[in-house]
Amino acid sequence: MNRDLSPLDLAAKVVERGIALGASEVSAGVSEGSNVSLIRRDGRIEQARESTTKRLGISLLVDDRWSSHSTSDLRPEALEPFLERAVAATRYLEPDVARRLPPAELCGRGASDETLQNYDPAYDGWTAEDRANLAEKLETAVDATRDDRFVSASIHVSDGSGSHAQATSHGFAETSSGAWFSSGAVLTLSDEGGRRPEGMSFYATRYLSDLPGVLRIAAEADARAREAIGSAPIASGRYAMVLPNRLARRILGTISGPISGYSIHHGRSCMADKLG
Amino acid sequence: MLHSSSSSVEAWFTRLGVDEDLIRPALAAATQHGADHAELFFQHSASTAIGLSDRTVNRVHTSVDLGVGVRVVVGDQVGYAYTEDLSLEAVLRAAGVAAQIARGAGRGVPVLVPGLLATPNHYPLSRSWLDVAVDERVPLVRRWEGAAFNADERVRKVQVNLSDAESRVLIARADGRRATDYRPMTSAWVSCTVEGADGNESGSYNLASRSGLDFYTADRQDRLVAKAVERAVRALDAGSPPAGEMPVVMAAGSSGILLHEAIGHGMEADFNRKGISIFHDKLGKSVANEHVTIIDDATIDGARGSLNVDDEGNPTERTVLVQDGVLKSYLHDAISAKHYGVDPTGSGRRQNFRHPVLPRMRSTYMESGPHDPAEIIASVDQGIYCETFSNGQVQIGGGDFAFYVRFGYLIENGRLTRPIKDVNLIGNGPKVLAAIDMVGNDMVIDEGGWTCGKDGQSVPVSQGMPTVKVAGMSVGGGR
Repeated sequence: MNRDLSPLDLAAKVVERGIALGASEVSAGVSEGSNVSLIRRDGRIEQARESTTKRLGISLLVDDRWSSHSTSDLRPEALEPFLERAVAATRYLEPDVARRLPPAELCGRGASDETLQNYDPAYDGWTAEDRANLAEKLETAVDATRDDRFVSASIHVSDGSGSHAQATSHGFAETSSGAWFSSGAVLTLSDEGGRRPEGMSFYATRYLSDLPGVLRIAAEADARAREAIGSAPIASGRYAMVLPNRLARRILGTISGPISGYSIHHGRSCMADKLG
Repeated sequence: MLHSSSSSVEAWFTRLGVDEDLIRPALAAATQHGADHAELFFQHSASTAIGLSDRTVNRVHTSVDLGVGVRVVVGDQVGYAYTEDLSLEAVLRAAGVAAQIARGAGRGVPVLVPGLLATPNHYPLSRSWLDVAVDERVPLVRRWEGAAFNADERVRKVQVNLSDAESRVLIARADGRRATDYRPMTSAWVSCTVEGADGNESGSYNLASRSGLDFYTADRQDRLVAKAVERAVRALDAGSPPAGEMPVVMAAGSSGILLHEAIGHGMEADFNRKGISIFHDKLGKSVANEHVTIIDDATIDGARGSLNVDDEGNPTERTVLVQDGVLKSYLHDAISAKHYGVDPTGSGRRQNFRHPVLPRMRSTYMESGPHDPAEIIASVDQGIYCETFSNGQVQIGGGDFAFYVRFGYLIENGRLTRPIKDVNLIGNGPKVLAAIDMVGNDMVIDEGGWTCGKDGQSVPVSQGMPTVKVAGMSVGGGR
C-alpha cells in the first residue's frame, strides 16, 4: 500500500486486501483530524496542545465470523501484517450469522457534507491569535467575578477539524468532514473549613458563531461555584428531584444501551418487547 | 523473565526508525526557544480482546497504536504536541509546535547520556502477549463459561471478556536521559445472570495484572468464576439497608476505591500547587487517626498500577502519603516537584502519547492496623458492612464524595446479618479520614481492574485496604 494514498483510497485498498485475504465482507474507515487546545490560568497560557491524528478501523466478516480492529500504525509495511493477523484472529471465533454489513442502500442515506453542514467555513479563517484572544477575553470576564472567595480559575479554549472516509466491500464509499469549537471555564472559590467549591461552564459547538459569549460562560461558572458554597448533605430519604436540562445527556444515556439493536437482538434488553 | 529496560525495547523502536538521528534533532527543535524540561515519549501498543456471550465466542478486537508525544515545560507552562507519524519531518513539526510555549534562547542539540536508565522489573512475565495466539485464549473463556453454568442451576446467561495489551515506551529527555519500559497488562471479566423467584440478578468479578498468560492460575480462574456466580446468587436475597448516619465497616480490598477517590486525588500535587485541593495546606499536619498510614506504591510486582519508570523518565517508588495520621507528601511530577522543591515521586503518568503528564496515583493503599477484623465488626451495634464497590466520584476542592456499594451486609448487634445491595455512601474525604477509628490487620490489594480518570485521561491503578471502621457516614438507598 502506498503511503500517499488519500484516506478514501486507503480505505478502499484495505477493503480490497481484506477480501483478498479471505474475508467475505469488509468495512474500512480512515479518520483524520487536528486539534488545538489552550488552558489559561493566572494571566498566561498554562498549557498549549496541538495534535494531528490518522487512524484506520476495520470490520471483517470471515466465514460468518465477525470482528473489528484498529490501528494508528499506517506504515505500508505494517498494514499488511495487521490485516493478516486480523483475518487470522477472526477465524478463531464462532459463527455469528446475524452479523452482516448493513445493506448498501442504508449506508449514508443521502447524508452528505452539503446536507449535514458540519464544517463551519469560519474554521478556515480561525487563527492561533484568534484562539489566544478568545482565551484572554474569557479569562478577563471570569476575573471580573473575582472577590475575596476567589482561589483559582482555569480557562479552556479548543477547536479542531476532522474527516472520515468509509469504504465497504459492497460498494459504499463516502467521505465526511467537520469542525468544532469549544470554550469553558472552571472557577474555584473558598468556603468554610478550607473547602474549595468548584463551578464550571463548558460549551462545544459546530459553528463558531454558536459559542456563547464570554460573559455568559463566566457568569455560569461563577454562579455554579457560588451555589456550592455552604452545601451540605441532607437527611437521607425519598425526595422529588428536579434535574437541570444540562444533565439530560446523563439521564438519557442510561437508556441508550437497552435500546441498541445489539442488546435487543441478544435478548438482554428490558426494552426488547416494548416497541410501539 | 522479560525485562522492561532490556535493550530489546530500544531495538524495537530502532526498527521503527527511532534512533539518535531522530531523537537529537527533535529534542533540539523542542528546546529551540529554551525549556526547563523537554521530553519525547515514543509508544507502541498492541492489544487484543476476545468476548463470549450467548454461549458463543463471538467478539475479537485487536488494536495497534503508535506515536510520539513532545512536551516542553517552562516553569509550570506546558507546550504539547503529538504525531502518529514517526518520520523525522513529522516529529520535528510536532516538536516545533510544542516549543512555542517558550520564549527564550535555544538549548542546542542535546548530548544523550550513554545507555538507558537502569530500572527494576515489577512485571512478572515470561512470555510476550504477542506470542500468544487467539486460539490459546479461546479455551480459557470457554472454560470460564462452562464453570459458571455448572456452578449453579439458576445461572441463565454468562458473559466473559479476556483482554491483554503490551505497550513499549521510550522516553528521551533534553537532559540526555533515556529510559524504556515494556508494560504488559491483562484483565479477565466474568458476568452471570441468575434467575430467582422474584426476577433476575447479575453479578460479576474481574482480575487484572501486569502479567502474562501464566497469571491465570487454576486458583485464580476458579475464583474469577466462583465470585461472579456468588455475587449474582447473593443479590437474589439482598435488600436495602435503612438510610441515615451510621457506622460503616469497609471490607478489605476493593474498599480502597474510597481511599483513592476521597483522599488520593486530593494528594496529587497539581491540585495542591494550584490551591484547589482541600489538602493544600495540610502538609505536616494531622489528617487522620494515628492508626492510619497511606501509601501510593509503584513497586508492587504485577499490580495493575505498578510502573518500572514513570512517563517522564523518573524512577518510581513507594511514596508515603500519610504516616500515622500525619500528611507527609503529595504525589509529584517534575513540575510540582520543582514547585515544592522536592524530588519527583515517579508519579508522572499519561494515558498514552496523546496526553501530557499529570501527577497520578499508582497502587494506593492503607497499611494494616492493629485490629482484628472480627473485633471491628463486633464493635458495631447497627451499621453496614460494604464489600463490593462499583464506582465513585469526588469533588477535589470540597472533598465531598459519593460511592456506590454493589454488595454488603447489615451489621446488627456485632454480627453480619442480611445481605444488602445498591447502597450509596455519601461523605467528605478529610472527615471520613478523621472518623476512621479502627483499622484491621488484614490489608489486601484488590485484584480487580481499576481505571482512574482525570482531566480526560484514563490510567490503570490498583488500590487496597484493610478492614476499616468509619464511626459515622451517610448511607443512602434505604426504604
